Amino acid sequence: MILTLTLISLLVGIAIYLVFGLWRQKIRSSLRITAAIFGLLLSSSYLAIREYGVEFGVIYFFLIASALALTIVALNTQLKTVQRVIPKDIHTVNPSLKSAMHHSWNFVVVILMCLTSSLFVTIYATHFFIQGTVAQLASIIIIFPILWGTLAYVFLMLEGRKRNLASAALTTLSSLFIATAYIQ
Amino acid sequence: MSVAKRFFSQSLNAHKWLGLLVGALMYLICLSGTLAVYFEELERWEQPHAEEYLDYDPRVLDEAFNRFLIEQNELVTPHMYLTLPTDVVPRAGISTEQQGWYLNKDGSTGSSTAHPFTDLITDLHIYLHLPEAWGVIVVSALGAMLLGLIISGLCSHRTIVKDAFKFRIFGSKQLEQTDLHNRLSVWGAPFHIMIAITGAYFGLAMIVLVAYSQLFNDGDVNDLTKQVFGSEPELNLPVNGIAIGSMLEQMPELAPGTKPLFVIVHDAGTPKQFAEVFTQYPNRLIYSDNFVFSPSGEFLSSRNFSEGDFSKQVVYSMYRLHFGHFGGWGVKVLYALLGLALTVISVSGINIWLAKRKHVDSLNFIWPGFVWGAPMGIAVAGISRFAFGYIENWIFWATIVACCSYGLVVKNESKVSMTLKAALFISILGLLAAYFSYAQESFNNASSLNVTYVLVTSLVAAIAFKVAKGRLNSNSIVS
Repeated sequence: MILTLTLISLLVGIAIYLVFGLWRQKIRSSLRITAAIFGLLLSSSYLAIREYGVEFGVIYFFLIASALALTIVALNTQLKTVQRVIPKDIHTVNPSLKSAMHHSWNFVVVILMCLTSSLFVTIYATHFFIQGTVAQLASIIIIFPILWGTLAYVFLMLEGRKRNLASAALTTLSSLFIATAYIQ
Repeated sequence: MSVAKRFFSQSLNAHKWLGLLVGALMYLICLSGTLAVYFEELERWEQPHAEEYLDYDPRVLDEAFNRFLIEQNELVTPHMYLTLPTDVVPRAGISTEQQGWYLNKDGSTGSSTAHPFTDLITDLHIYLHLPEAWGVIVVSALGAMLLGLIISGLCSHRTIVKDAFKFRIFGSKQLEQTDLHNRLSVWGAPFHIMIAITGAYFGLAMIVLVAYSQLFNDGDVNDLTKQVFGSEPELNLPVNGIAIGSMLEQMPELAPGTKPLFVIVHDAGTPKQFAEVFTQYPNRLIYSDNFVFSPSGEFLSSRNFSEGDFSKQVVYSMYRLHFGHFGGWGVKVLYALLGLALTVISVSGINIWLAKRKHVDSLNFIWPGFVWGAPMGIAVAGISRFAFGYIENWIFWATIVACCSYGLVVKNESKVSMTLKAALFISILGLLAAYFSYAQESFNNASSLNVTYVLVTSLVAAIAFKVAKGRLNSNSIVS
C-alpha cells in the first residue's frame, strides 16, 4: 500500500513538474508533453483505482485534477505594481422601499417558485422517463437541485418585461403543481 | 452590444445577485464544512481522556451494553447505540438518543461522549444553528443555489481559457480578488458541483419524498422510505437481553472483510425490539451495509446496499462523498483544501462586488468584521468550552456581532481586517492554551495531539504567509 501511494505521489509530482516546465518555457502547446502529463495522471488514477476501488479512483481523479491545476495557478502568480488606494466617498446606507420590495419579490421567486416548479418538473420527468421508484427518487435527488439552481440563474438573467413574464409563469406553474398535489 | 457580450453581461448580473443573496450564509457553511471534514478527529480531540483501543472482545461489549440496559433503565430511549472502535475513532461507546458514555476495554463505563465544541461546528454546517427541521432545508437550498452560482459563474466568464492560469496580485484590489475568485472556482468546479449536489440531498430528500408520495404513492411517505432503505421486521418477543456478542461474531461470515461501525437497537426495551449492525465495506462509497438481527442474535435480513439496486447505492453514497470520509487522510486533506477554496470564493465574490462599487458605506466595514468574526467566534466558543466548561451557540454569534460593530465604529476596512486577523491569531493561541489546561495529563495522547499539530501549523503558516506577503509587497513599486 505504501509503495502504491509513493508511486501515485511520484507520478503526480512528475506531472506537476512537467506542466510547470511548460509554463516556465512559455511553450503554448506540446503534444508530446501534454500526452505525457495526461498519461501520468491517468496512471496515478489507475493505481488509485487498483488500490482503493473504481469509485474512489474516479473521485480521486476529480480532486487531483483540481489540486494540480491550482498548484500551477499558484506557481504562475504575477506580481503587479501596487496601486495607490484612492479613498472613495463614504455614504450612509439609504435603502428605498421600492427597491427593497423588488428584491424581496425576486427572492421569493428564486426560493419558492423556482423550488416548486423545478421539483415537480423533475418528478414528472423522471416518472415518465425512468423505470422503478428507487431509481426515480435517486434521479430526482440529483437532477432537482441542478434544475432549481439553473432556473434561479435563468430567472435572474432576464431583464425588464421578460423577468416579469417569467415571474408570472413560475408563479402559475408552481400554484398548479401545488394544487394538483393537494387534490391527489 | 453583440449577442455573446450581452449573454455574458446578463449572466454576470445573475451571478452577482445570486451571490449577494447567499454569499454570507455560504461563507459560514463552507467555513464550518471545511472544519467538519475533520469532525471525527475533533471529537477525539475534545475528549482526550477516553481509553482508545482497536481490538475488542464482543462478549465484553455485549455484557457492558446489557448491563447498561438493566442498571440505567430510566435512561433507555427507543433507539440505543453501541459504537465500535474503528481506525479513525478507536473508541467504543454506548449512547441513548440524548447522551453517551465511552466504554473502557474491560467493559466499564468511562467518561461522557459529549463534544459540544464539535457540535457547534457541525450544527453550524448542517443547520446554521436554526431549528433542525428548518435549518437542514435552508442549508440544502443553499446547495442548490451553489449549483446556480457555478453554472452562472461559468457562463459569465468570458476569458475562461485565456486567463486559465493567471493569478495577478498587488495590482488593483478588484483584479486580485477577481483572479482569486475565478481560478479557485473554475478549477475546483468538479469538486464544488459534487459537494453542492450531495449537500442539497440531506435536506431536500424529505421534500422530494413528500412531494413524490403525494403525487404517486397516495401520500404514504413511510412506504417510500421502506422501498429505499428497507423495511423493519415485525417482532413480538419477550423482552430479554440483546445478544450483541453473538451478532458481531457472525459478521465475518455474513460480510467478510468488512469493519462493523456500530449497532443500533430499535424499539429498545419493548417486545418489538431488534438490532441492526452497520458494517463498512472497504473500497466502496456506500456508508455501510446493514444486517438485521433478532434480540437473541438470529440473523434476519440484510438491507443489501452493497450488492442491491444501483440507485440505492447512489443514495447511500451521498454521506461519505460529501464529507470526504473515504480513501484515508489524503482525501480528507484534499477536501479540506478545496473546501477552504470554496470559503475563499464566497468571500472574494462579495469583495469583488464591494470593490466595484463607486462609493463606500457601512457594508464595507461590516463585511470584514463578519469574515474574520466567524472563525474567531469558533475559537472564542472553544476557549469558553475548554476553560470554563460552558459553550452555547450565542457565543459564536455574539463574537460576529462584536466584530461587525467594531468595523462600524472604526470605519476603515484595512485597519479592521488587520486588527481582526491579529485578534483571530491571539484567540487561536488562547484556544490552544485553554485546551492544554483542559487536557493536562492526557495531552500526549494521539487524539489530543492531531488537532493541536494542525492548529500550531496553521499559526506558523499564517506567520510565514504574512512575512512572505510583506516581502513581496515591499518589492512592488507603488504607482
